[in-house]
Amino acid sequence: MLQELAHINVLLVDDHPAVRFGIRRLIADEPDMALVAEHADASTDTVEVAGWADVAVVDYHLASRDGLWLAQQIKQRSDAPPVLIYSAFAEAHLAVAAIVAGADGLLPKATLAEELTVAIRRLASGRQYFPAIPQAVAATLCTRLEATDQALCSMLIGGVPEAEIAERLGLTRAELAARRGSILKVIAPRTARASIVDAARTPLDYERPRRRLRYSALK
Amino acid sequence: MSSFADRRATMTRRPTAERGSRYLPLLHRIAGINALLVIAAVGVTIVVLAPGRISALARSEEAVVVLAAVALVVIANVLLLRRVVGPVQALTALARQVDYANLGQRMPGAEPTSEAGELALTFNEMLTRIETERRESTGRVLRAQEAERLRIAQELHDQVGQELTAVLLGLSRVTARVPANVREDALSVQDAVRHSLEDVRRIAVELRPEALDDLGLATALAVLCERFSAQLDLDVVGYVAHDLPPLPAEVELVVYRVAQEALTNVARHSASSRAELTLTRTEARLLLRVRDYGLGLPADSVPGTGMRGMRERAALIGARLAIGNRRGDSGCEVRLEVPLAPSTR
Repeated sequence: MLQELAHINVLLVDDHPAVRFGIRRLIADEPDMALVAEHADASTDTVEVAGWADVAVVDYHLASRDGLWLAQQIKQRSDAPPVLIYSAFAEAHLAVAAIVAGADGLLPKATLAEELTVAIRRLASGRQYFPAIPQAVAATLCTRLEATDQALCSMLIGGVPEAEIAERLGLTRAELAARRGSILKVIAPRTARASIVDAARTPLDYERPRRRLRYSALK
Repeated sequence: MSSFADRRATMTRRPTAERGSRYLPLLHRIAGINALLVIAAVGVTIVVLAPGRISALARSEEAVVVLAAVALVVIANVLLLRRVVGPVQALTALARQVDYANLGQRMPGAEPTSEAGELALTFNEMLTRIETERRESTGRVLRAQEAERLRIAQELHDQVGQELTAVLLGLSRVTARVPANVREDALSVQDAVRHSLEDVRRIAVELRPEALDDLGLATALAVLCERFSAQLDLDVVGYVAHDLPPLPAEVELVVYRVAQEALTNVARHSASSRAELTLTRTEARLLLRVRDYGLGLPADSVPGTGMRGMRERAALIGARLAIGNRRGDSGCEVRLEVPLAPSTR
């Protein structure tokens, strides 16, 4: 009976082992889902593996590149699966960036357990999963763009299909992808953040050793 | 902690004028001494130089002329002395006013043409030195504070947030498998964990507004208004002008922190259900206004740590901060005026 169900093959990308473990078990419990691969970081291998998946589930904060970069790369493939980004900071501006990057859904971590499987099924069936985007936030984000990109950005936020946007603006698929990339440069959270944080952290980095001690004491 | 800061604030802010002056002012003293000298000199002159000419009983006309002359000299003396002593009084008045709330005040007429001018000049130099040093040390403290906040926010997100996420994922699996009689308990534990995760996220965002780092001031303020509206019982209407010039990161951070603190105060103290935030620009300056429709500041309000923090941040970028009740309307208004550097105009 179970074998007859079509499997949803899931690719999971998260840099935190405990979270990967939790999601792995969660997916294992679902009869219609299977994990095809787990990656701790986004690389070209990850983009390669995405070809096997029906849905890619990607943490926004990754060690080297972020989930938006991965979504963009995956979406360049002709057989790109839907991409679900999840983040602790699933605020409206990240939703806009996720849409522009070509992702199909955004999930806050606080609702991960309940909604993850719902969202995965929804994406697998070709639909999207985004929180509502407040008008004020979308508007201020769009004003940061060049006039020609503003129209493109609001069409993307408005959920106009890619093919229709390309036709309306007279762009090829590659040109549209390039335009999305340049919009993201303006509105997407910076990936350079990690280096800033490291700089701020260096003089007072006593937290990690102490944590390790605490763990070994527990064992 | 806040009461200590309040008390310290009161101590440094209370002007010395309240001591009252228990001494004879310098002007009166010098004028008095001079008057005595003049009278003595006139007396001596009369007695020594003209003992024979004036009879023992002076004629009344003579007395009137002498007295008038003495009075004239004393009055002229007072008038002249006033010009000399004036700068000292002005200096005292200015020294009383010097405060972190209104920086940049200087003595007029500070030219090395007289001793008073020299004094004013030195005084002004001292003020500049103190202000510069204060601004630098405040800057150092605030920068260290921001770096520390960034570090804590990152730590909260990367460690606590991830671990709670893992706990939540595990719990939801457990909840699905426990017998029906304990399911309710398991669900409430799961709820508690979800709330903690939300709190961690909220605290991390408040500590370090990710939107500001990444997307600039306008979007960060829009997100801030949105968050206040969504999380608290406060309807925040935000308007940010579209023609903002590119601003230094430090200015953006100060404007954001002042807006954040002002909205926090509205939410905490004003009992107002709505607030407005506007950020506009004129040719030479940026103007942030946060107003509410609530109780307004009480007449005897003492500035607390939050307000002091706003002032210190404002002073850091040479901005003027005014906090007061709105005239003819209910509620309070916070105004931050930031001068724009000539290159960004």
